[in-house]
Amino acid sequence: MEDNKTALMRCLQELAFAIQESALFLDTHPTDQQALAYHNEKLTHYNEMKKRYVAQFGPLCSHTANQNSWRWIDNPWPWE
Amino acid sequence: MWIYEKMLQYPVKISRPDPAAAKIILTQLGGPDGELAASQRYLSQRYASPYARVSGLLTDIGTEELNHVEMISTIVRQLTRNLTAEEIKRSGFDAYFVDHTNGVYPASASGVPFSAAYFQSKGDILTDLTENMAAEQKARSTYDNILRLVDDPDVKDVIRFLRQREIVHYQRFGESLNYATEQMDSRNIYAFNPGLKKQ
Repeated sequence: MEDNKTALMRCLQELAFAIQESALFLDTHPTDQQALAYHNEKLTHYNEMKKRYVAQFGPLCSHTANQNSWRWIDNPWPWE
Repeated sequence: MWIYEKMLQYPVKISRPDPAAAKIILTQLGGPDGELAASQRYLSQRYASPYARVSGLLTDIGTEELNHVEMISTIVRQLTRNLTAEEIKRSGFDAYFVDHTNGVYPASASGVPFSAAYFQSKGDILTDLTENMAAEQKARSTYDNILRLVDDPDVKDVIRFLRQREIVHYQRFGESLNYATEQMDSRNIYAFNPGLKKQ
């Protein structure tokens, strides 16, 4: 089943933000096991969702294996 | 969106401090033809590019320039470790030292702080790509000058790598300029700015 592109991107943005927040918190609380577990959980989820997004809508990063063609430069760019 | 990776693009391992060399290499961080100006030039220009592939190249080269900012900063850091007051005075590093101690600060070799006036984002793909080709050559000349002034092979090796990247970027910008020109009105490439309106 094909995902909704905007909804899946929104999900990625939420997870990436959660990971950013937990990373900052862990920088000043590196022994907090609860924060570490949260970070790991969000990261696992992010990686799954990212795989799904990239498979359907193309690469998010130039350092991504592209199947048959160089889709990295395809429109749209995020500011469009 | 950017995510940081904890590695240098090319290894920097300098064991011999040399504050005089640091002072001149610093210009490739915060000087008029430096890596910080390069990164901000391309990452600013990419929004107005009318061609997706050129936006992609500006994003990728702009990102690589951030790697180079990190490499130059690392060189400056490694060249200015463990200095005595006598070495700082003798090398001419004292003027920098009094303001920044051993902190890495983007300035030119003559001490002028970094300025966005070092680059342009004109919203015209022909103008921007032409500026970028000149900028890559200016950076290449600066690296050639650094190679004339520096002796340490550990430093020269990294500078040679960075110099080579300028040549590759020049090549890719040249190809992009050709591509952009091909997309335009062949009778008058200046007739329309494709970033502003469609022909």
